[in-house]
Amino acid sequence: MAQVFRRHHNTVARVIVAGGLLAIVGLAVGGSAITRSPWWTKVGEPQDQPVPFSHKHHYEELGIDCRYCHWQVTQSAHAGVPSTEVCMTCHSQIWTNSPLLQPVRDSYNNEKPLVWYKVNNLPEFVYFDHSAHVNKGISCASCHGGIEKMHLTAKSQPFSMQFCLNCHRNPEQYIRPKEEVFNMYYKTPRSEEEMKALLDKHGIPYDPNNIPKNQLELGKLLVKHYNIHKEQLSDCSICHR
Amino acid sequence: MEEKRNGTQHGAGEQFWRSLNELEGTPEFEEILKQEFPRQAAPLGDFVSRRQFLKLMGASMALAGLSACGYKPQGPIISRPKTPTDRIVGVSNYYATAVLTNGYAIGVLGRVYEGRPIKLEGNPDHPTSLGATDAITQAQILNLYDPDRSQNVLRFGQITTWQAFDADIKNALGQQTAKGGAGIRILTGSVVSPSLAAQIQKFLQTYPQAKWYQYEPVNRDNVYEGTRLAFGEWLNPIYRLRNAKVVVALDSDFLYTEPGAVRYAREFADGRRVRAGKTEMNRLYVAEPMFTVTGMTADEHLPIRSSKIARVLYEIAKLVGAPVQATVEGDLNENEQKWAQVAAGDLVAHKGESLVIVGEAQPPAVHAMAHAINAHLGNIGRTVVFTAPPEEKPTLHMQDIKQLAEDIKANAVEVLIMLGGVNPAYNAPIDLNFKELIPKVPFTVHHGMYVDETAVLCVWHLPESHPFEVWGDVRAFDGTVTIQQPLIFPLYPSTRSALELMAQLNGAPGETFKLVQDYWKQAQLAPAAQFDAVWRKGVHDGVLPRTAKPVKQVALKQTPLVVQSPIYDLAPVQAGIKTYEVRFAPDPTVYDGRFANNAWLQELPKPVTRVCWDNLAYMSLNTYKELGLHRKGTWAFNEDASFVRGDAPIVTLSVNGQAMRVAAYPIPGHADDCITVHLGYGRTRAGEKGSGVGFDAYLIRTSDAPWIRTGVEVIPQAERYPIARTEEHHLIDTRKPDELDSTDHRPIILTGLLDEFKQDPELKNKSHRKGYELKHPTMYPERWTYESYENPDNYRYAWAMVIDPTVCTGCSACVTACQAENNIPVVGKDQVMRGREMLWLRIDRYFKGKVENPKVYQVPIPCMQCENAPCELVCPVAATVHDHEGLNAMVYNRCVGTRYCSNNCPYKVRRFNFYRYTYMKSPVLHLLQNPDVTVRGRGVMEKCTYCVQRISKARILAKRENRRIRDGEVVPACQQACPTQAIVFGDMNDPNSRVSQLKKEPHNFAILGELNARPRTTYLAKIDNPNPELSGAEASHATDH
Amino acid sequence: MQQTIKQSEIRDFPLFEGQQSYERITGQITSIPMERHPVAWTIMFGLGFIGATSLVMALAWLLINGVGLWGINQPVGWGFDIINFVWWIGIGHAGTLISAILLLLRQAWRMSINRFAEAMTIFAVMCAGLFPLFHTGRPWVAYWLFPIPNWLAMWPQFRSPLEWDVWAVSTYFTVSVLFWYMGLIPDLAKMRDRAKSQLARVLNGVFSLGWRNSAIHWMRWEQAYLLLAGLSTPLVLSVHSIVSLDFAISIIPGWHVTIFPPYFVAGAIFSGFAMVLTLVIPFRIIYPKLSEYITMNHIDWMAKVMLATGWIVFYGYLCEMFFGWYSANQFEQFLVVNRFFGPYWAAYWALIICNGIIPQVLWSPKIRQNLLVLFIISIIVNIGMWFERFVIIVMSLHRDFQTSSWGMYTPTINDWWLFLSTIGFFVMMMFVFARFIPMLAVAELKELWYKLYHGHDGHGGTPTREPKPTAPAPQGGGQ
Repeated sequence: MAQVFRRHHNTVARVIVAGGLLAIVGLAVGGSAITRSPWWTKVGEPQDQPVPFSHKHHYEELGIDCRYCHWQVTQSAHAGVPSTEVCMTCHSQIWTNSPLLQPVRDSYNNEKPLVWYKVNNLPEFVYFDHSAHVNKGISCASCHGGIEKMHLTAKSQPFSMQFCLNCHRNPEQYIRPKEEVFNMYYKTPRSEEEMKALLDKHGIPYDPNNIPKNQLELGKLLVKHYNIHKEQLSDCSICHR
Repeated sequence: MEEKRNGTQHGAGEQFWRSLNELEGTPEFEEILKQEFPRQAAPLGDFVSRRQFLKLMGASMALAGLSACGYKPQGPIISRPKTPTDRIVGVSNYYATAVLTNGYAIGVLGRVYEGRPIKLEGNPDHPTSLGATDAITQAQILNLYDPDRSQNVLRFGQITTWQAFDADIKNALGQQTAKGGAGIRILTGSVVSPSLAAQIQKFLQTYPQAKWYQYEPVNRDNVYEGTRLAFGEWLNPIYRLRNAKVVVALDSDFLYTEPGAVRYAREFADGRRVRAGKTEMNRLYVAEPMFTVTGMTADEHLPIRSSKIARVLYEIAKLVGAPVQATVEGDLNENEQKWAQVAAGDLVAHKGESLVIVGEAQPPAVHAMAHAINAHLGNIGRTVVFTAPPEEKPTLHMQDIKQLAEDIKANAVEVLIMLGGVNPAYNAPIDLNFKELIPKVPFTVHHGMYVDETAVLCVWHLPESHPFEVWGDVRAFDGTVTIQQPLIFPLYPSTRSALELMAQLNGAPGETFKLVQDYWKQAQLAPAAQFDAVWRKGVHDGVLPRTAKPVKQVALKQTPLVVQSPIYDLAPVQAGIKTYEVRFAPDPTVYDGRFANNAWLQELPKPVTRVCWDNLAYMSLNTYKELGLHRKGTWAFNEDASFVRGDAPIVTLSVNGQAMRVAAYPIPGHADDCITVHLGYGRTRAGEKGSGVGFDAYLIRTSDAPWIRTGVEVIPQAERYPIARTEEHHLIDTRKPDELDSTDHRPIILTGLLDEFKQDPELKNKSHRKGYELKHPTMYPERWTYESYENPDNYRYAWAMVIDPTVCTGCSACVTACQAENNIPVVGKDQVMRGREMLWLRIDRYFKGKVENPKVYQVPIPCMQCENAPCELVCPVAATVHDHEGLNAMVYNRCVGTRYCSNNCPYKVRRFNFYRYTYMKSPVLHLLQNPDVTVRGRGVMEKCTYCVQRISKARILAKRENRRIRDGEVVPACQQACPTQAIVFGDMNDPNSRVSQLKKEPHNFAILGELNARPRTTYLAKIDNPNPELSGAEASHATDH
Repeated sequence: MQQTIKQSEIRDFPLFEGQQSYERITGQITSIPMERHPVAWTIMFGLGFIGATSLVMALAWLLINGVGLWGINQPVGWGFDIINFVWWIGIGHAGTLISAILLLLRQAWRMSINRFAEAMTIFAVMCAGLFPLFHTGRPWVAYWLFPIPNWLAMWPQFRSPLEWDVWAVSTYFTVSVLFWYMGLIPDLAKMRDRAKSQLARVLNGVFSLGWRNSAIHWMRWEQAYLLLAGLSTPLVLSVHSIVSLDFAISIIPGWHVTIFPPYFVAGAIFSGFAMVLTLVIPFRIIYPKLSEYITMNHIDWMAKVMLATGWIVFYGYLCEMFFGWYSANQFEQFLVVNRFFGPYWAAYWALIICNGIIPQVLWSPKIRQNLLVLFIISIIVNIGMWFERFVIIVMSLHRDFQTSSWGMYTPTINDWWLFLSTIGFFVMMMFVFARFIPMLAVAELKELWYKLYHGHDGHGGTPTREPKPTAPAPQGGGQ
């Protein structure tokens, strides 16, 4: 009877065994890498919009405050998109004939809503409240970081639960003085003087003998000052109802 | 094609979308739709993926590292053209308005989220509401979004236009002008809207020969006739229960059904709250055929046939020495005699602070007797006052409808206009036979929210606006006027309110706002200069000033008052066949049938019977057995198997050739020899939910005997009928099927009598007291501390609830409020029969004592938020966990649905989505959903979380303002709705909060405390105040086992 | 040879029937998959195949509609799903017991039934595993029960007994499969060598992993086999103990019982042996060759094990009654009364009769030799064990603490559909197994034969590696 298997089948068998194991590992690693990649999460991928609105232009170049358009961010769960009336406060004066702004003018003149596309999307079972964050020293930049550099608006963060929890578990790493929330160029002071100046400027009480040296120490001070109950922040009921 | 569609067949969904197309372009509507659908808590994952489940499964395996929130295509986000000045996106506005619940207004605040009303709260400034509501009021928001609402003008069932109607009616009215409108009849319900009444009067001025009739199947005829007998004029009695120490209610459900019930319940409860050191308590005597909400609350309950009430009251009148002369037949038995004696004794002992109340179903003579007694005892002016009737044109409804029938029979009616959803084809007395009368009229118009039984018999059907869509004005039972503000842009463009329609017929059409405001300008609400300010304030507050009817001074028209007592057949055996007495009553949930298509009300377990989606023939166990309906049970516990399984025998109630089929159901505490049947069921054209549900009691209701019909033969049928109950009514934890005393065997609830409480406020002597302990010795460190937050380290809130069953009437307003607030789905009769009802808050009702006349205990059971929650430990994915404020949080999207938590819950308060219950065929219903609460998909457990969304809202606001949440700032939906304020919620860490104070009460206890789950919801002992002369001694014995 | 047997202790209880030799053992057993299969196989496989197909349909229907298809409801959150899960897991117990515990107890008779029992175990656990997965409301997220690092930053909750279940059952399944496969390797090599078709040769060759019968293979194989046996020994106790904790951890009267772990394990062994008997008896008829190795003595012993474990289980029932009374706790007391006289009394008494009373006839040696009666008893025990789970799960849940939440449970047609389909799947798998794989452990049987009749630890004979042809060469079998 002829041999069923040849010698080289041993190699085949070994490759299959080793390859199978590798494939499992690779699938797990690759799968998780793919799902975390911008390709999947759309982080950094600008969304097409009816009007190519530039945050960079309006915020960085013109210096318009976030709250000029997103005026209800301090009062509501939603930051809100401005009505076209708000756009027209300026654009009835400048760029009045720009074809790019035609949809805005149409909306305003015909009283028809202007439909944009959402960039940042949270699942329906997550209850995020803008006002709760901006009033407690969590800056726009923490979630929408880099928006001042964006010509076309894209997501800055994947908004995974892990992302949220990261801050909810360690708010002191991200918190800043309330007054700096809308300042996209804010940097944690590095020197003692700067830190002191910052704290004095916003009237935040501190121990002069123990001035915070870094973000973590500043964060701890602010967390206490703003009465933030850190351990409560990772309660499920904070975001899910 | 649309012309061809038969409007009566109700392709509700299609019609809705057709309307939507018509609406396209109106920015409000687009805003509502587009702005809100993305934010709208859409169902969890499986909604989208039901058809792609394999794909999803594969995806979930492959992308194991991924969170559940996938990256879906991005939804739209809308820029409005104009910035609204009055609202902020995502923040709800509240508008004061009013709804008609039982013919009279109850003031509410409508919560409007982005242009869509989603919840009604009681209006604290309104005299009938005082901030609370009843179940029916809570559920009315669902009517607005009812997909079965009529949306089109129909002529002979064909869709047509208002223009066509206007032309047609103009023609028809034109022919009447010569005759002065002699052939015109207007039929409405009871009109409590001043502006509408004015429009109708104006119409009647144009057509002086025309007639306006009013008909409500549940009406105040007997009450008004009663006052006429006693005082010579029609008057509206208003009770001042706060001043009453002793209340004797005869066949009256004044705490639930009758106008003003919400206010009465509050006033009554205020006289009943027992606390350490405050042991004054009113006492309620109730004599009635079947338990009502009032009867269940009674300290002394007497089951008695309705027809014998007159006899009992006469006995009381004699005993208190009231100047009444009557001829009454029949004798009282020993129990009844004794009850009357004791009640009379108590009345006399509390002159000026006692009250006799007689129900709407009792004949006028009985009312008159009660007035005489109240007058004799000096109660008038103190516990009861009289005002003019709040109706714009008070009338006797039965007379009106009879007159209309005669007019039609005499061919005197050529134009019949039925306004505001009257439905005589369904609910008029059967002897008048309106089904055949209506088609006899050549020109009939039906105006209503549904294409109902009457609409299909009419030439024209006109769709009515919901009161939340238009302006209007309505009076409460005391006459107070509320301006109804629209809460939403009309959902369907071709609807009109009755006011609009009448204005149109008067040739002066206008917008409802203008019509209403003009009326009040003319009515001189305020001097012209101040009108605007008064009007604005009135609209804002929901109460127009000085519109309540003034109290009238009354005096008996003769002393002694001679009343002709009603003569009923008290000898029920006729020609060898035993006959029974049937008492009709409005249904506790669907009322007279007008709410039949309201699924929330259909699914709400009826306060007494815990039956839903049905009306049954309720009778005593004795009568049930006498009729041979009782089946010998298996040898196991000797219980009737149908009591466990839940099916009932069908019987036919037959009298004088009229007959109805109905399922018979024995209910403890029912009087013998009589049967209670609720109206409002058996509708054929109520809509998808309400048609074909239950049994039509109008089939045996006649104009002569609208409430109490004697001589009814009961014929058992072989058929059996499945019934949906949320609670088995026989509690089987006993070997004796006739004794319903499960509280003796199990530590259900701590009970005591007032006298016991006075001596021993902790009720230490109760055998089960130990089982209710809150804390058990443990060697583990205390996880929860309730210390004052004045200690700077303790900043936490500790949410807790105390429920006081002593004042709970079981009215179920909290249940429906919870349903409305928390997007709780309706599951339908079949699912309820399988034990899958979804209501988060249930009201347990326990009987104790003899089945003939047991004591009833009501215990609202929400999730207890146990500190040692048994559910949390067993969840494999940590979908239910504690938060730092002591809430037993439930993360719907984390739930995989093992149901172990529910199994391990000793209170069984968790609810599981066995199917995709939240699926809604009609998109219009999506507008109803509360955006603050996740809509749960299939396979997910859900439960009460103390309205965590309201806590969150308050917390965020407090955080923003850098302060603590104030006591009373968070009010869960159940507490909000509770008419008796039996539910108190708050922060246990705040020593001054109401809830902390109540937790310190000596009679505070935990249900199933012996399990050491440490529930945060605790209860105060149910304290009763029976008269020791009557059942006190016996009851004392019974409660102490 | 005759003399040798008579001299041994074995002679009264022969583990082999007929004239045996190494050659005959190999031939008889390995020939079964290679011969034409009896008509009974086709019929049974066909039935099983229908069942398995219907299982796929039942699961698809379930996924489309949701668990609302079942009779479960508010108080009774678990019904057929968990009853069947526990029942199948219990059945899957005999495999490990025979493989591991009996090995450790040096019960030589295990050799002829262990392969069979292990196969049964694997298929039973497969059936069992379906239920916890599909009983969840959202099976597509059931992977959350596994501690996979994820983007939710959430772990499963390790305190939950359901989580322990995931570990216990998956470990048990993995080890059982490995153990079974390990034992199969030399036999598959035998099959490879005897196979007639090239396909069989290749497949058997692949799955025998290059087995060459070399001494070092045997040595390593023995070591690995022993290690796995050691590994699976605690599993016998752990799996069903942990399944029992699904109930014992809770606070529901009737579940919160401390004796559950041993009581469940005994019950599982009881039902496992019943199922082995249920299978072995017809298989001996369908494949008469098997009866040479699964003798009446084997059957007798299995019946005795059933009798013994049956008594442990019955003791458990008595304990539960005692606890009810002794606890002085009204809920526990009510539980007992409700079992006796409540609406589901019939299920309780069926359980007592099936598991407590009927197995007592096994005291009689005559009965233990009567295959038909034994078969019927084993079926009855299987039914009884199913009722045990029904009693524990449904009867405890349907009436617990608050009378207001009491309810009734009625299984629906979908419950039955899924349950019967898993039985179909099980039957199909057993017959697939019979079709392709040597049903008895050839290598182990030969070793046993060697030890018994020739081994140094046997009874007489000289230790030798060479088989002594004491019997005529077998007629059948491949060469």
